[in-house]
Amino acid sequence: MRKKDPVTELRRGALELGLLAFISKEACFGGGIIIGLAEASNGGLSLTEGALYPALHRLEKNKLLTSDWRDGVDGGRRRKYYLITENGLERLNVLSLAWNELSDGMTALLEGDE
Amino acid sequence: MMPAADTTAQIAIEQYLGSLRKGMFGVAGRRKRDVCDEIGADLEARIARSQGEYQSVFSNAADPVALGKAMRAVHGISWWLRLLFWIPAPLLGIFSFPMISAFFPAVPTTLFLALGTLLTVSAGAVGGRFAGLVTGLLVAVPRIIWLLVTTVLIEFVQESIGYSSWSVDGGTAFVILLTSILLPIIGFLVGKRVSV
Repeated sequence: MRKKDPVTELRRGALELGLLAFISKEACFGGGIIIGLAEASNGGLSLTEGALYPALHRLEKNKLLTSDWRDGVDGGRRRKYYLITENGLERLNVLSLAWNELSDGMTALLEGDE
Repeated sequence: MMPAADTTAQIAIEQYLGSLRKGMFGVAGRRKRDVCDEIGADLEARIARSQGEYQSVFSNAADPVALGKAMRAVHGISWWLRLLFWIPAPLLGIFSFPMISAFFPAVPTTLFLALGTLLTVSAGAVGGRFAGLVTGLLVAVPRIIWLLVTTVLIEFVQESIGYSSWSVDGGTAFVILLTSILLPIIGFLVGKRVSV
């Protein structure tokens, strides 16, 4: 069995929150999310398609995101844009609060070790 | 079409999407087309942004077959494919019951059990946990029903006429029950979640 990278696992846990937070600001397509998320998180959430698309489709299936197809730029292929739903916003609030608590707790714990 | 890309880049995108489709084997056709349209458009945008350096885009892209399998894990397989697994499953269960050989020696019950197991494993591998579990149950339940009916019938005949040349011994019943219980478990375990 393949050994899981602990850093990848940690990021995977934050993926849903990261995607919901990013898409809540503006509707975006997959390629744009990869670049935008990496820039907005200072490289902390650098995603590959292998992680992004299944996560987006799972969120859409769970009705936390919705999507629409828009015409591509300069006659390019049409793109699928993701938008956050009411349920998605509620989930984002819950996850944000939990994340802040966790982050404060972990920061205090790790700084206490120094 | 893509403004900044040449035909070679378009061919590379189509090859990538072809492998993605292979990874999504069993997913409903419309869903497969949507996923390919979405990922194809994103690849095209990235190639345009890289000013035609499409090789670098593909060298950083995810393995398309693994990505297709991950998408299949999200969306599951089509109902047609599920029915292809589920319709023969009860028949294999019925004909894998060992005591059929007592009445019809030509029926290869062990072969039918092996085929039932193969079908369950295939359903789990292609369709995920749910498809594997249901296929295993559809093979197992007729075997358990057969066992109960046979046991009750033999006891009824023995009580009615005081004699029966057939009997279900405890060892055989145990093996039938054990293999029947294992089938849905195997289907469920084979259909583990795909991670990329």
